Amino acid sequence: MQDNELFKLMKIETPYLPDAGFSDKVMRELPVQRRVRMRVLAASVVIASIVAFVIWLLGMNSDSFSALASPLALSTVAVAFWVFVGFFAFITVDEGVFEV
Amino acid sequence: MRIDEQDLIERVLKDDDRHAFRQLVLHYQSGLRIFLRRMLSDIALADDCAQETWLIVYQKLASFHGGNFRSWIFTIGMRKALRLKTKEGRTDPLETDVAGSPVPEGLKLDLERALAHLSLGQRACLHLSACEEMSHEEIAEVLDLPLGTVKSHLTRGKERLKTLLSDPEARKEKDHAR
Repeated sequence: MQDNELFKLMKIETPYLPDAGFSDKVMRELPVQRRVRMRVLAASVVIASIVAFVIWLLGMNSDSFSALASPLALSTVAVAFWVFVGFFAFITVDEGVFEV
Repeated sequence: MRIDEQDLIERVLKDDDRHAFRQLVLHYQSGLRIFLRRMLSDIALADDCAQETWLIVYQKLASFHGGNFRSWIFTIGMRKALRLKTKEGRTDPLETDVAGSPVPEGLKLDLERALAHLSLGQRACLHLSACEEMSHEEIAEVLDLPLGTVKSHLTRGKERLKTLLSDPEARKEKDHAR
């Protein structure tokens, strides 16, 4: 058998595989769309900042509340900060940034 | 189906266009899955491997800086398949030119069974050359092998495959003649 005959045989006998739902499976496994994630990140930071600001404002107008305001505001900002770090870490790992 | 690959890739990168990515998957899915099936000899495992390959393609698309997109996908797929083979304890590196199982007596093999008797490297090189029509340089890139090794795999692989596909009587006569 000549080489070209062998290759012809291999091409003829190699089937074409229809998609049959394969691409659907692939698309389902893709990570959540990046734009949605960025919106979630941005929203969490904005909400945390607004909440901290509101608490600070309330603290300015009320003596009894002002004692709580600083630690509350600080706690809210701290929580927001760690949520942001957590989201960032999750997204970078999920996006395969660290994969070799 | 002709596709404007570069345009689709740009749409995925710029707008995270999922429809564009699906077009790429549809265009290359058959070739990749068939290749992985021949490498892994297990349909379900090969399709899982192909799925994971596409996930990596999506994640790493920004690192593709032009060139041969098909070779790039196959390179990722091959690396994934080799990792799976290593996990299973099947360490038949691509460089090895060890012939697979001995030629079975009295059987004229069909193509798939004959291919299964080749070494992994020979099988990969033959498939990429014959079915994907890749050049030797492209095959060397996909399999991460020196060009000389690719050529050697192709030569020996073809010889062995021809023997395996030949009539067993003719094979016996050839063996006696040696």
